[in-house]
Amino acid sequence: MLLIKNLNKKINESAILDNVSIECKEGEFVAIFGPNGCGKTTLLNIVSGLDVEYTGHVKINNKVVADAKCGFVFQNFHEALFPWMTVAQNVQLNSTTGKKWIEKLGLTPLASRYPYQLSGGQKQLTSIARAYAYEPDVLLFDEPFSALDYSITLKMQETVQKLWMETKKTTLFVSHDPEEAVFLADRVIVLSQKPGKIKKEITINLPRPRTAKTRMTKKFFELRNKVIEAFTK
Amino acid sequence: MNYKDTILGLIFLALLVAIWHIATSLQLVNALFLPTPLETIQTLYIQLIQTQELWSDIFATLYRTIIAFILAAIAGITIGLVLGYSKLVHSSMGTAVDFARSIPATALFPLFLLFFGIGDEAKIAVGVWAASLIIMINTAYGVRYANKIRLMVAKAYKLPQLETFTKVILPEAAPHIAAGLRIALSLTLIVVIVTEMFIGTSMGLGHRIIDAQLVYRVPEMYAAIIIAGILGYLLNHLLQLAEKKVIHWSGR
Repeated sequence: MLLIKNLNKKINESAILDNVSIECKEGEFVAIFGPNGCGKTTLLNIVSGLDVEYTGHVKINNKVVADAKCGFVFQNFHEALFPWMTVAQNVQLNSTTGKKWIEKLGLTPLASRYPYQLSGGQKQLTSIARAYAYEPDVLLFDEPFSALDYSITLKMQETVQKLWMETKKTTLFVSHDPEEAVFLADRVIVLSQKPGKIKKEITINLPRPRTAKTRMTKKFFELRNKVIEAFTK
Repeated sequence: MNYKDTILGLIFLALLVAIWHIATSLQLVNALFLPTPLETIQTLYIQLIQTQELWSDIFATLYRTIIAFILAAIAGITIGLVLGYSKLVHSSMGTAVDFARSIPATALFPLFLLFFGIGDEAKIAVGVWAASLIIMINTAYGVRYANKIRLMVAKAYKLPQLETFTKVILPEAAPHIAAGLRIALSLTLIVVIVTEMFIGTSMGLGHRIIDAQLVYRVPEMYAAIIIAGILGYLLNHLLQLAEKKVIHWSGR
């Protein structure tokens, strides 16, 4: 469970986040959608303990941020893996359950390769395996697929959904793509232009598992349009 | 370097020797300043294979260079890591280090003679001084400019401080350390050879070069210079080979 209450963040008197409150229930998948510079990344940095200069409350499974574990999947996968470590070593960065996740994500044949021997998609799969292997209280994704090919992105989204359905890990997924947000999440939170403020929350009641067909349904379109409408209003 | 590059490199080298040969055999250059390639090679042959007198000089120079380089690497990397890691140390020591490295190391040789006497110690000490400063500065730079995202990853995954240092910061700095080591190795050889030209040396390539020059045995001087060049070239290549093995990820 993730509880964010009255979160305010300023940098040099300029507000980045304005009174943001989000509650993710245990096992819930929440997507955050908003324009560039709305403080999405700042929000994840605060939740993960990377940024400690803010006012408000953040509780993860009833623990303060410093005591909680966040599996963070960064946007820039080229830099977020350690180039001197193999896939296996990267996944086992601070955990002992790496092997299981390497297998689960189909990375076993790549386990002894180095990041410079991987494709973009394989790199991000390694990052995801690392996040799960850490056995986190909550998973954080920061636009993880924004630099990938469209076809690979679709596959990655299905992988993320599959893993979530199996594990039911509480997930906060920042996205700049309304279709991605609707496809993955139980709930989409739309943030406003800087300073980031919650504009709207949209519940996504599409049945799971969602597939390529789901993306073609009328219901999917309606929900996506709702997100875009909230965004542009 | 691939096969084609090697061939091209050798052809160019042969061309240079050919020009040298033409210039000397047509007496375009005073033979007192520049002997023919043949004379030089003959001298090399005599000194390396017949009398074998050059070997003790080569080993003396090599010994001083390698000892100085190893000591400099240990000191430079250790201090450099602290310098790069601790803001306090950096702001208090930074200017002093900058000043120290601005002093030409060879200008300090008389000072080192005072402290260490006229034996090997003084020569090695100057080499250590010059090389460790370069390694130190490069190491500190590597630590300070470690990739921000990867440091964030280590922090987000709550990697303990010691592990962050050994698993992240040290490899992060490794390519810069390697660059420092390479520059430092060449510099050590230069400094050692220069110091060998001074008093208190009976062996070493620098000693041989200055001795030959003093009595106008010019082919001998060139022979020793060529050997010094080959030594530098081989040392540099050895280090590059090791570098490619150890920091295989760098630049990819």
